[in-house]
Amino acid sequence: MLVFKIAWRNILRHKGKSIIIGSILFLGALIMTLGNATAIGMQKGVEENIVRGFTGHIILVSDQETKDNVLFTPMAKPLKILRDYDRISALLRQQDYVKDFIPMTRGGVAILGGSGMNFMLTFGCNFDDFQRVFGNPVEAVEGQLLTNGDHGLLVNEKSRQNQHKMQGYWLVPAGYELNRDNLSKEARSELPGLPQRSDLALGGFGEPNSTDLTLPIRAITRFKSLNNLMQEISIMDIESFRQIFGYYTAADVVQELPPEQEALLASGEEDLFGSADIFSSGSSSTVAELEKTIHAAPRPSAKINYDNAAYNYVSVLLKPGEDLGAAVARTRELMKGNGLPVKVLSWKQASGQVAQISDILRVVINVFVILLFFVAVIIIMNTLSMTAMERTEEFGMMRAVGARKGFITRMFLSETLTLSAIFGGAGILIGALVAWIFHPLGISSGESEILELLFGGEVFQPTLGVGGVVGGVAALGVVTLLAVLYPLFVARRITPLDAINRH
Amino acid sequence: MNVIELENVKKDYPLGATTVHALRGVSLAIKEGDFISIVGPSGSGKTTLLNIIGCIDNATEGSVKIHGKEVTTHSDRRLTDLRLHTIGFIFQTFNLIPVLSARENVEFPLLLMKKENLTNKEIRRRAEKLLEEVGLKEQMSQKPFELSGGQRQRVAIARALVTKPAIVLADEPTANLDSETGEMILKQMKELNLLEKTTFVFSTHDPDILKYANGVLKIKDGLMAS
Ligand SMILES: Nc1ncnc2c1ncn2[C@@H]1O[C@H](COP(=O)(O)OP(=O)(O)OP(=O)(O)O)[C@@H](O)[C@H]1O
Ligand SMILES: [Mg+2]
Repeated sequence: MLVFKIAWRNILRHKGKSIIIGSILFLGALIMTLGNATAIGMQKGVEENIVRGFTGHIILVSDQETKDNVLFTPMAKPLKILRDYDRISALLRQQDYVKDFIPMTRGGVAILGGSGMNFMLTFGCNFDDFQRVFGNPVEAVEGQLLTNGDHGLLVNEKSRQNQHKMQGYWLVPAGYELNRDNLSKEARSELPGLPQRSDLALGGFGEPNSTDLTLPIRAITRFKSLNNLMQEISIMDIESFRQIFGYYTAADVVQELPPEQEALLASGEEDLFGSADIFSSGSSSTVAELEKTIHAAPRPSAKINYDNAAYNYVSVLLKPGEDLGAAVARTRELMKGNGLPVKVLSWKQASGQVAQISDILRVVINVFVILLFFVAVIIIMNTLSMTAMERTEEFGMMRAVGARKGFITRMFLSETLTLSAIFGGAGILIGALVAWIFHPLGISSGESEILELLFGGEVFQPTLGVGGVVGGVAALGVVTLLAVLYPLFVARRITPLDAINRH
Repeated sequence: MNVIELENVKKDYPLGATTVHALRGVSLAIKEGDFISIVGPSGSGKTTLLNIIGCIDNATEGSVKIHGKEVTTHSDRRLTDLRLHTIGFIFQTFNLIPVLSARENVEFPLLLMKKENLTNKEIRRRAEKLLEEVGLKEQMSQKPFELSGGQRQRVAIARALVTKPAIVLADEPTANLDSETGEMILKQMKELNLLEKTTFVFSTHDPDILKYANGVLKIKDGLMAS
């Protein structure tokens, strides 16, 4: 009581210093809270849009895969075939932490027959399942989305514009008229003679059994979220993918190649990149015929049970609230325990740079906040030390009439902690309030890919939550204690004699 | 019994390259219930001596005993507790805690000693009574900066007496007071001295108040003179 009374009066008595320290604590707490809200908001954005909309939380790939970054690398080496999908899926279905999962393929394809080389990162899936599992992340701008069993390609609207620039033609979904509303400025200027195409001849590379295939464009699409970021991704039906990459025949030769042959293949790959005429081997007419024959009579090796077909990876979505690290560990155990040749990756590992950039931003924010704290600690420490010296008479007097050092400690701490609680508390409160107000409004990333990536979506919503507030209060406490330590030492050292000698 | 006992106490102050010998071997003994005055010219070492007796300064050499116990080897904490429970000190110049009112300043040491089983009400009553006695009934809730030098000195006197200490040390307690108030305060001290057997040691320049003392110690150049 006595301590608090004296502390409070001292705060009022030394208003100038109280205000300096208070403002620093206030600003520090405010900036920290807003930074925190930004970081948490971004994390949430990434979680919502990238994880729940495309990658899933956990990615299962073949244990033959050497690199973790399996999803987004452009011109990536083909992924190994993930064996035993039937057993994997049976196990996943039994896990209580798994919300859903979907098997996928991923590979790089070359667009054939154009003026230059053009690559696309393409994902093969049963598109209906894809839309169901990821909550309809893809929408059609023109044409009609794929349904299971349908053959064809979905091309992103941005990718269409790029291809027009590079190859000179404008893609229109098969069976649809040119939609003039969606033309880019460049394409519009070429009207009425704008070259159009409704199919693309694609060659898979990196796989020994890959063939060329001409696929009809079913739709021009966009991702509802992160479209700028994911514009180079095209999606095709799973069977066309397998066709291009030779998985039907490959299913029989899953066993690993001897190293010499692997090396040979690798050098062959380079040749593939170097000379364009290899691609012309698959003329569109033969491919079209081939396609007909596939429909009419699947080859013997293609007669496969859906669950046992060739995939590259499985995306697993967790139930809300499940801890990612724990789930990865459990899945790893599960696969190992059942002797499955599977490598279990978190979405962060599997997404490479995409996940890292948003991590980097969080690190930058944290470093900034720590720097800010450092400065705040130094300024507060300085001011408090000065205050302690100026109050030599007061402290010395108290000590002279019998106040122990502990009393000085409690008084000094009460003063600083009260200031910290009032001003720092106000900073956290106002920061939380700003985050709360801006959360529903959101901040648009515009057309910027980088911002979109940082925001984890087109719209950034600062989010704080109880954890953020608690963390803020803890950080404020740590800063206050760090700042008060040295001044407290100074104050405790003051003797009655110091006070007398002042006179 | 000797309440205060000093033997060959020396005190040196470093002053730049030289050393000031403020006390050069002081020995004295003060008995319980003594009312002692220390006199001597300015700079003779009165304040230094009182500070050493009052456990707020330590002797460079020699022995200091309070109630027969050697205090020169006490820890800071034991000295602090001794100041709180045994000694009341009235300083020559500064005295009060700026943020506390006159009454709160007087209450302060009592609030520090929680073991006395006094309720806050009793503490307040005791402080108010003492302030009344030193003639500050009207100024009780004023802060030190709202008081005159003499009034501040009187608050300090009340504070020194409030814990009923065995020893009261006063460094020129009447220097800032008019002779009338000075006399009044000395009378009160004397009364307490007779009533409670409180030992008083005070330094002064004022020959008028010497008559209250039952012993005079003369000090000159850091040495006792007879
Ligand atoms: N902190 C100090 N540092 C250096 N010298 C000091 C210090 N305190 C006192 N002195 C010196 O010690 C001597 C005794 O000082 P002291 O204050 O005890 O004298 P005093 O008798 O109380 O004088 P006054 O009557 O003027 O109050 C003086 O010469 C003084 O200058
Ligand atoms: Mg003096």
